[in-house]
Amino acid sequence: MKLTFAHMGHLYIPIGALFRHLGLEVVLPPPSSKRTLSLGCQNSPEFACLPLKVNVGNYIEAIERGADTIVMAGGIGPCRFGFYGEVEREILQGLGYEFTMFIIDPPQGKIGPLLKQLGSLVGPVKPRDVIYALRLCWEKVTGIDRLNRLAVKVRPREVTRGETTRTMTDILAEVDRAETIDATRAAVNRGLSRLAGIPQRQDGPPPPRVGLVGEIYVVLEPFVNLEVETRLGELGCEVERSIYLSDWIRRHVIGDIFRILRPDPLLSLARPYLGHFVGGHGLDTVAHTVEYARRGFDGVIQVMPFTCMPEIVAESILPRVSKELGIPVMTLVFDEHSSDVGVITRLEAFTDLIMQRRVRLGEIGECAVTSV
Amino acid sequence: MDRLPVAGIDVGSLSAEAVIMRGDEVLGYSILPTGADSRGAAEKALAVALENAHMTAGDLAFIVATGYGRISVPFANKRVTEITCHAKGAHFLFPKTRTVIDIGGQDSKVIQIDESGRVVDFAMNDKCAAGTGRFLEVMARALEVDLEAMGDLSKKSRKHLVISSMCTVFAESEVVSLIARGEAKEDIISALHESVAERVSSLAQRVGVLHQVTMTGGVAKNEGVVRSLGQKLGMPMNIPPEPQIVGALGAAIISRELADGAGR
Repeated sequence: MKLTFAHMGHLYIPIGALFRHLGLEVVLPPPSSKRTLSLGCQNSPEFACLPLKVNVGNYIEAIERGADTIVMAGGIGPCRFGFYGEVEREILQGLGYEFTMFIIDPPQGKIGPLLKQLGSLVGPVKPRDVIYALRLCWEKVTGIDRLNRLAVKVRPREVTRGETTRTMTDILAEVDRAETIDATRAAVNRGLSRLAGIPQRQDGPPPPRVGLVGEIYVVLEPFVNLEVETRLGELGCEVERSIYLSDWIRRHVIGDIFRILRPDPLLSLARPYLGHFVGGHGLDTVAHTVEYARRGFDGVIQVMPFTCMPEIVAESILPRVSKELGIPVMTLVFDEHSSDVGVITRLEAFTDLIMQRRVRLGEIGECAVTSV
Repeated sequence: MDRLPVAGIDVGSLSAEAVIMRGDEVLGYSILPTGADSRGAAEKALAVALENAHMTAGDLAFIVATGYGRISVPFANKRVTEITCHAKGAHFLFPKTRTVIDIGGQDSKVIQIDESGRVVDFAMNDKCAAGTGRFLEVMARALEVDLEAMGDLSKKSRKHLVISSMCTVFAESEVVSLIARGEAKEDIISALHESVAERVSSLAQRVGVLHQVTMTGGVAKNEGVVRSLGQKLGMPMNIPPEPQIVGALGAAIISRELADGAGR
């Protein structure tokens, strides 16, 4: 069996390690590219959202490399993603590919069926090995998040533009290669000190802080969001993502398995604007925008795939949040037609806008406009 | 203080403009088609503007490039987005401007600015030619009239027609069927202006329209669109004498600020 799964940001590092340590052979799809997108678009319904199209492209490219088993997450709606596993299976079967697909649905409090499904995927393994694999996976997830959180602070202050991004690529490759928990820890720690060692400018006002909210796949996948996080950082903004994988797993996977869903303090922030779940991350988007405004951020950028219902609901609410709490918000919608030129112009103009707002609020002195 | 001349260059999708300034005075400008070579167009636009100002490139203290082609102007000292530049340019020409509506060759944008010309909010059309100059250009071709003549022709319109498609391609089919039905060109053109105004005013509502409104970009030369848009917004708009150079003018003003800063 040669197992594969779709890309979503750096997910391939921890999930790849998890499966390998459960004794499975993993065949990763090549990094998402124009070809991936093109294969996905040719073979997907036009009005499906971008995540489905890129997933299909990833699977085709992985099958070309010899993969024969696909693992995909399921869901329970109202976001369409929950049904994408089934649709993707149909599409690939229709194209004549031979493969087995495992769609892992959220356990919703019943862990029995999930364990049975995983058991049939993994086969007989010692509980000790399962625990080690899970711990290694978690070590990588939290390590990558720690590295990312430091990188977004270093990037706007770096003296040589692009150095943080180059260093991160290096560090992440090292974290990926680490085959044990100890080696992972060492790689993460080495990475953290390498990032801290990047020459940074010391003078001038602190960089503006921008929150990145929106749909999880677009937030986490730089190929799809046209590297919005890196670009903003290199324009001089400190970016905080609303979604880090470790937080998400803590809240949703672990919370769901053990049914410890307490009232979420974050979501009560959204209540004056949106009082109930709208699917996907719509409610989180509103809640995080309120949170960033309260924490004194300079702006918020919402990203989503074209036709994303939960985020469209949030988008229609954000202007009110923006007005009442006085925080600039910009929405970027991505599909296969998005071009980096348009995104760059909007990001530069948004950076100008928030810098000029800081001048107006008297936070900083007169400053030059953003330029590249 | 004896100020040095500076330049702003705006390389748009359809036309490239350059403005040479010293202090508050515009010494020369140019408007040329961009064509397929944006770098060449930028160089040529600057050369023509310099010629009009009776200067050479060596006289310039600073150059700022803007517009979609700003990255292909290697001789510029800085590159700034067209949103910031249009805000600066409109504020310079009409200091009471609070809303800038720019309808260019292939995008339209609405910018809200404060009393100092700083951008407060903005909205741009998304990946579609609806409500842009290109929309009118395609329709002018279908109707076999000159783009520049459309504004005048629409004044003769007597009958109210509606073009319901926002999409350029579908609207063109609508135009073709209106022609086939024997409708007058003037009436069709008037309906097209309404369509552009409709699209742009809905973009403007996203940002909010504050008095005074200044319109920039090539489409501001079209009286028909200006009239329709003014009616939809419920207020008159400032129209600069040369609406196409406002982006380049803004870039020149930023040049001036940066040159001053550099000389401190």
